[in-house]
Amino acid sequence: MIKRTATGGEVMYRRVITSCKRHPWRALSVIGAVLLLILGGAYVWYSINTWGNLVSDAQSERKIIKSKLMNIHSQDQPFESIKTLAESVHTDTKHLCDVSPLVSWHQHSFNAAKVAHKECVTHQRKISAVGESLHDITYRIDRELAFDAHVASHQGRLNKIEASDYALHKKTWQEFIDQTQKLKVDSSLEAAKKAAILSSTFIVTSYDQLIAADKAEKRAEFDAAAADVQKGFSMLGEIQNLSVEGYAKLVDTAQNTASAL
Amino acid sequence: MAGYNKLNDCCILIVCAWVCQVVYGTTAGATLFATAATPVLQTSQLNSLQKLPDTVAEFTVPTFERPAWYKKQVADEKKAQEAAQSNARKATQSATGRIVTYSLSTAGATSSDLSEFSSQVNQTLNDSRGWARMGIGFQEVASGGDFNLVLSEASQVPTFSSACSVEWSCRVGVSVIINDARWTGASAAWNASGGSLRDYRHMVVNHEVGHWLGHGHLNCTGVGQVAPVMQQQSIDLQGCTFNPWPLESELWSSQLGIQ
Repeated sequence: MIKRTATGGEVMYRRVITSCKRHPWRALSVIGAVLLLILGGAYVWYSINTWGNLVSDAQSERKIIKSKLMNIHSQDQPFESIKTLAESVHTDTKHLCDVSPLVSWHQHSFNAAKVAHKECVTHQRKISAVGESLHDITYRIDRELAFDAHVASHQGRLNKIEASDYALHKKTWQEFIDQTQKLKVDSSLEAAKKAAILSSTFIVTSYDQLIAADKAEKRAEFDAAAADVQKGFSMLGEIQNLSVEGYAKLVDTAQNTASAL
Repeated sequence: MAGYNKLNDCCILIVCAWVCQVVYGTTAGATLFATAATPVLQTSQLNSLQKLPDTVAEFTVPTFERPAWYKKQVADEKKAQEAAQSNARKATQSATGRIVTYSLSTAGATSSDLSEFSSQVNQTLNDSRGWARMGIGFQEVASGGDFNLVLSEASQVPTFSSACSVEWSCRVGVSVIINDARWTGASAAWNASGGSLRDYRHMVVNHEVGHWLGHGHLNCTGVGQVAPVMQQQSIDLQGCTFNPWPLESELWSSQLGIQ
């Protein structure tokens, strides 16, 4: 019969067990050390994972936003798509570079973490800039649609008035001025709003003169006032120019921020 | 050796083509190239969101119907102007003496529109550049009149007098004969000088009526000068520039006693 001799490891194990049985405080120390080792390892793994993913997540978020922007033109309802995209960009990037408080202190102590956080913030800013420019456009369009509805309804009212009813025309234009002044517009539409008020005020003044000339039966004054009313209408064209100019600036900004992605 | 080099080049090209196919054929490659070719955000779609410019363009500039008082004032003014002009005409006519009357007729088979002939002749005779400058008026009457204006077929013109030819217009006594061929086509000399048909018609009427008024033929007074209306401009301008209207110096009439 052959008797198996114990290996070096088995000998060591038996000695530790025997020692622990003799000295219980040693047993606790060993268990504690093992646990600490496991926890430390887990923390290191979590830290590396967090800082590593922070940049790659930001990069992939940029790519996703870029791809969505490129697909906007193929959407059936571009305005709704831009609105949704602007909102999602805002929500998705708000906490893009936030990390757990367990590891956030690393950025003040470890250079690698500091670089990673800085890079993430750079990505976040670029994405946020796109979101803000899209938001500016959607806000502007919302305001413009309200302005447009106001103008259209006014046109409809004017079309129903007899051309010879100068007083009613004047009254309707005065109401247009009052309502336009109350209209809330964004800064890109402010110049167009001012032009609308200016030209319609000119129209109201001209109608005043037309009414006076008609009453006094003065032909020369009547012709001059009629020409002024027509001039006032041509001044309304300024609204178009200023509206297009203001909007073009927003579009340029959106395009620049999108190109920077 | 040269064959080996060609084979070598060919292989390099094939390998390059394959690499390009693999690299650019991937989705990443396609995206990379698409990004370079097209902007991330297409502005046409964004610009289409604007509605206000189109709505503003729909404002229609009002056209003002003139009020009744306005129309009345205009009508009254027009009446007053017409009355003033009529008075002025009457005053001028009474100052110089008379209205010359004439009748229209045709000879032979004419091709021209007679109503157009009548209208254009009357316009010419009463034109402020013509004989009317002597303060006379011309009025067409149904028959008789001071003279008879005849639109004649070319072949019929010599029947009025042996002095008349098939080529030209003519005047014989109270008959002022306009050659239909000249009325419709002017003359070679006139056309060569660049004169219009309407001006030729002015000229031929003024010229032939001028004979009735008492004028004979005149010659060109010098190269580049304006031709007198009584010059035979249909035949030769003689270096003068064509002119359908009587010169200031031609404004007299022995027939009417106007000096």
